[in-house]
Amino acid sequence: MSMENCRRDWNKVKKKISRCIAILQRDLPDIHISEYPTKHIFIGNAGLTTNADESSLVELITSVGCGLEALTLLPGKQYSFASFTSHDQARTVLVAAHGHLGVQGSTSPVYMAYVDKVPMDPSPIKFRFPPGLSVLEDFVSPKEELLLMNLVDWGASPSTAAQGSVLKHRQVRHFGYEFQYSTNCVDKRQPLAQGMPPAIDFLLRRIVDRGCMPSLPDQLTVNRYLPGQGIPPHVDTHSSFTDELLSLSLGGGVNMDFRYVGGGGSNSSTIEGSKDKPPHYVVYLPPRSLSVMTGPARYEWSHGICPRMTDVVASRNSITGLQLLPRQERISFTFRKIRHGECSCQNARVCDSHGKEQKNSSKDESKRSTSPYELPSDRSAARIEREHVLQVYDQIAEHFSVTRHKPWPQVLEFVLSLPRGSLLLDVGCGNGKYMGHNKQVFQVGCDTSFELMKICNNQGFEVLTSNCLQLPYRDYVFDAAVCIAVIHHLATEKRRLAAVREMVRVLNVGGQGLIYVWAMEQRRGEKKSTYLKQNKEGSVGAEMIKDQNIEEKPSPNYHHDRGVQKNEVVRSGATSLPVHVNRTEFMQQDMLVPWKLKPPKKNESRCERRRCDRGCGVVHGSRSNRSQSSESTVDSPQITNNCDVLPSQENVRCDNCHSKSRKKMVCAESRPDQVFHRYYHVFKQGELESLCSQLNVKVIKSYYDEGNWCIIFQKSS
Amino acid sequence: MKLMTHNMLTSKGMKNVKEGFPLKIQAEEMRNVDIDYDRDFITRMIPKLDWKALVFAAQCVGHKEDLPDTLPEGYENDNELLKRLHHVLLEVEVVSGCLECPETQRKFPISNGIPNMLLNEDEV
Repeated sequence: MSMENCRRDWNKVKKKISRCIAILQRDLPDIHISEYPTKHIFIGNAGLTTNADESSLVELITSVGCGLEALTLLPGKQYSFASFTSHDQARTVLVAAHGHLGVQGSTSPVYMAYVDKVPMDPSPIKFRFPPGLSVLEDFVSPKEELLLMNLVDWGASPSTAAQGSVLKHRQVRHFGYEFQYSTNCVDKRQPLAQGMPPAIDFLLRRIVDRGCMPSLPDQLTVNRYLPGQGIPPHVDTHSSFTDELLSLSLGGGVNMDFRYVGGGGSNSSTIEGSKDKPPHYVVYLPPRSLSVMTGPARYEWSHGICPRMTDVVASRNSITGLQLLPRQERISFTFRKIRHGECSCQNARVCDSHGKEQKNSSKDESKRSTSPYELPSDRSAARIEREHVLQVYDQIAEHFSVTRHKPWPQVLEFVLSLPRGSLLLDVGCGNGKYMGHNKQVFQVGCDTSFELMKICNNQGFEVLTSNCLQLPYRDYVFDAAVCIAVIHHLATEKRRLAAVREMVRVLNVGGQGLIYVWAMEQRRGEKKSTYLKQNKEGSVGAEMIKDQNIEEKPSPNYHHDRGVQKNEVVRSGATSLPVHVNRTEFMQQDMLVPWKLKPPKKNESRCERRRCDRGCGVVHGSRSNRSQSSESTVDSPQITNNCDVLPSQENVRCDNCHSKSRKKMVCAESRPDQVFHRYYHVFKQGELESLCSQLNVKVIKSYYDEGNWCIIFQKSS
Repeated sequence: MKLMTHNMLTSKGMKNVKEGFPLKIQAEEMRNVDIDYDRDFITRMIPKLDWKALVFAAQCVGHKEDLPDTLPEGYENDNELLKRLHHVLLEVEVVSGCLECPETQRKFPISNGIPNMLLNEDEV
């Protein structure tokens, strides 16, 4: 390479790091750049929003140096920090990596600088245990470990009656009583024919002898985790099991994530964590160790295992330091004792027994899941919907519209079957996919997203912005209404019912409504829905998930592209919501589903910063010299639906690349992909019907269509 | 926004609003579009309309003279009327301006032809 090139390249590097520093200084003015090496390195272009994560950063850093003590990654930021034991070690790493080496999966090198301090760490605290947790190492000998690992034959089909014992994410066997994942509890009246296997008697006795449990456990769940598999965060149902949960790890070790979900109370003063973020501790469980969860760790902290291929653990080669440990096959034996009667902990937030007398004791099937997700108040629900539905659609509108072009035949059939001169309402019309097909009817649409309404308006459709909970139409005015893929975005049953009620209100007597919602059951018998089929590789996390179909998004999670998804819980308002892994079965009804925003093509892109200047606030930034910014919507700036977003501008100069273009502006900067989280409550079979049965309608047809539960009803009076 | 749509709109989603209909139109920018005249279609629309509200709306946007104050009998045979109706209902559009609630005077802006009927948290 010529000297000119080197100089030019290094100038580019200097520019890049300056921009990164500018962003840092705007975000965290307390952190100062240092000319001289310090123990802390600022990594300007590798962070959670750029698909970097702990693993990939550790990999990079340990490939060129050592002494890494901690990593700090902030949610919603494109930068991160690495802290070392000494400034010499930091210097070795910076000199080797800055401007030269990139994180796995990235096309550019990292840009680094020394800083005097790092922000308060919201990332998981390692090496610390939540209260009530103990880990007893060497609980079994290597010989016993082998015996236990061979106890279960994973090849044979389970002899239990229940389906789903072999889970997609990890294989499971139950002994004693069956733990039912659909309801998250145990049917105490139906013990399994298979009791505890005699071969483990010695283990059960050891558990009591060592004081881990006051009496013998009577329920055993054996889980087999292959590398890349995990288990979503959860609190074991209070009412199903007694105080102690014991888990024996065999084969490989693993990091287990603990998060406080108990919601304040007497423990909160002793718990660390930054304001508004619940503490998150990561505990390494070595092979042959028994973890014992009692008290708060059992009742008020969720535990889970991230589905990934590696764990970041303490380095074995130095006193401090971190290293990457590849996952190995791990078998866990979880011992529990069935609780007879209800839990008496009084913690309404996490306890399913709380207020049980008041609950409707109906058929078993209608029993709700009692995982950490607790029903939000109306205000929390509104907030969840605002952050994870309304704001998201406005930001992804264009991209979303591009992926929503093929109408579902049965919906089209409904629309086309309407008699001449009908008035048709499309509630939540999105990009107008179902509008304009039937020229013989007058159709209007509504949606919360102004951006999407503009897309409809451009096609000549009559639309307005409104919320489906308060439809701005008179009573009895429409002959028909459709509501496709909308009410699964509402966060409480009350609100979902209110939406249907509104739909019914605006219909004429005898008018028909059609509702489609996403089904929890993505698999009907042997047949997989299109959504699942798009996951060509099969098991989650084990391999790269490729984007085969533009209907749904690729690489479901913002951590990195290597196909490893981090199964996490996001705290939204008062509720903990798990993040779903795209194109896999739903593990719960309420969750956040990622949407990876494809950046607009170069020729069509608008300069986001210019947009911001007009106050529409979609992307944070301003006229002055700023680097690429990539805010995640997790802490998104204010979006106003009233913004008069600029029409195509003529002869405007782009702030960033200074190029002019006639219609829209060309921005040469490529931005890292943003990921948005949309809230969904997926419906179980019969749930939609049950909603409609509370209203004055007659159900005409109720069916399942490509991963959706659907209903056609008629207004009775 | 077409006047056909306006005929269906109400602000009664707001608390304390009884009827919220018809909304007063304050138009800034208007435009006319060309829609194929379908006599049968228009005839079928008429029974679904609130005629008084339509006349009121036409008045707001300066098309008062196009429509009679009351719907005459035998309208289905009055081709001239039907044609004017077609024009007022489907071809006249409000591009920007606002809709005003008759009871609270709350204004709902219209931009790009799209009325914003989203309510604030304290209004529901």
